[in-house]
Amino acid sequence: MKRELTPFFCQELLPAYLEGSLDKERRRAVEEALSKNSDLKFKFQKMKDQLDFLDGLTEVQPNQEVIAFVELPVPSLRDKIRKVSWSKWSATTQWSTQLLVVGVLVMVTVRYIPWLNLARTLQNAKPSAPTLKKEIAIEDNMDVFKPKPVYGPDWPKGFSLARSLCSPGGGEQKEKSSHCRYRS
Amino acid sequence: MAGSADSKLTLNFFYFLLGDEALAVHSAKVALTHFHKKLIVENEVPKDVLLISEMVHTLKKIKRKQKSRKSIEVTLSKKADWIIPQPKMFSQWQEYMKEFDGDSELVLVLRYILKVPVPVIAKALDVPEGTVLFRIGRGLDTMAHYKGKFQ
Repeated sequence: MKRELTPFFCQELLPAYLEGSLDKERRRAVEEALSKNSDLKFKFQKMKDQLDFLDGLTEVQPNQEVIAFVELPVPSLRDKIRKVSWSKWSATTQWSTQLLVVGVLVMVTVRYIPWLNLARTLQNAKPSAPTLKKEIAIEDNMDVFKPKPVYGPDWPKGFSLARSLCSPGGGEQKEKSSHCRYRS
Repeated sequence: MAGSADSKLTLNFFYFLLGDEALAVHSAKVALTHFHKKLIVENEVPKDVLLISEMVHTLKKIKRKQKSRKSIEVTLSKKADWIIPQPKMFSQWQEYMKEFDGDSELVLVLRYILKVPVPVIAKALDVPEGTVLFRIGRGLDTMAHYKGKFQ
């Protein structure tokens, strides 16, 4: 058995009916409900009137100039920079700008950097690098050549191992006593 | 470069929903610029859906600014002109838009003035087609009960 559409449900289906997106059965059901219910028919007629009104507004069109203006691409930041780039400047402007920049730099350097004070400070400055003591012999400055006691605390003062080895009989004296003393 | 039809559609959309010529031109330019940028990145979304969605997005931004009482001053070098065959009807629409300015009106403009198909509107607004139809019904109902009456 076919069920009839309620007025509320039919009203909800009216936009779809106007759009023509209902299937055959539903469309027939809506049409049936519209023919039976005068209140629904009145509502449908009002909807159609509004659609006619909206249709009338479709003729509103923007001017061609406005369309052309909107279609113009918006210049990006890169384009703006390119417009004022150095290569676009005339030769005269380039030269005068360079001259101006150099002049300003020279003026700033002369005015704000204390050249004279700097020169004086550098002249009076003491060298900070460590220096060798000139009065002492070169060997004394080098710990490597200093004789080191290898035979204990009784090692004679002023004894040089090199001298004792070089002198004749030095080796024999050493053998005679364990406490050998150097005699010049 | 935008197609002429796209530009016309965008301009009319903003003119009908904002009511101000200079603001409509400014908004259309913003929307079209964003649309072209997105068109390069998003290949999967259909062009018309992307355009409508960008238009709606820009409209929401402009309205948010208007609500927060930020002054949107737009100055155009050229005078923006629209050809309006029936000025009385258009002024009635503008009066109506001052009172009712919601999703239903947005859908009505898109569907019946700019003739955008329902599936495209649904995709652009990211809602089901049934919701679009419901908004159409609600919008037409509001128009029918409007005290000013359309003639």
